[in-house]
Amino acid sequence: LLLDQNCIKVVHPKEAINQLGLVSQQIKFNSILKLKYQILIDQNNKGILNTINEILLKELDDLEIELVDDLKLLIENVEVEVKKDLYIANKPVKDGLLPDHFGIVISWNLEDEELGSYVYSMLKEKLK
Amino acid sequence: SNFKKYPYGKFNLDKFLNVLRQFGLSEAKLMDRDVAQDGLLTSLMEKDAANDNGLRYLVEIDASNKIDIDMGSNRINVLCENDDFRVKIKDALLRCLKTL
Repeated sequence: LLLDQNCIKVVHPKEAINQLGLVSQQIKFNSILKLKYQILIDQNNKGILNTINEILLKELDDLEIELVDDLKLLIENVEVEVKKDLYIANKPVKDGLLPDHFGIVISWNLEDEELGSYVYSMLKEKLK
Repeated sequence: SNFKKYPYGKFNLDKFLNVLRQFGLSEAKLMDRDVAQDGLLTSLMEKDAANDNGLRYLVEIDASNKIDIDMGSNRINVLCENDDFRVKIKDALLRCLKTL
């Protein structure tokens, strides 16, 4: 609620911060789930993102999930992205040799902390 | 609490580093960005490298837990592999900022 020229208005907190002349800060979390590469190989037929989608649908059936591409989905404002080569960024892979790990990056802003941290801990539990 | 939090206010880097250490993240240190551009999180941090304006700082707990702070555009990016660290970092950030 904001009192403006003797009127009380309902405004979004972000807008209120701006209207009051305050400095709005954006805090974004990018949580990395480090998983064994074998999980990725085992999922090969179905695709890891489909598995993640099924887990999310089962646990959060009232929320909208948008599949962005083969490796990324959005659940409300929480982003889940599979990074197959996260742990080989600076090391060239030798022929035929697979890395030990891959990563899933789950990103959200502070205001979505509740859903973001829930998605993170749920995927950590279900994918290990 | 179930209320969404929207942070605002001026961010004090020195205070943040002190609070991190109080919370047990004693390894937290301010890094030289040029030297730090190596390691597994590089690919995640390069996304908005165009914003580099001399007001960007990197606080590192270790190689896989870092905080990218852009004072110029008031954005703080937390990259964490360890969720216990992340929660401590979040609480430290909230100690240093006001929220609505």
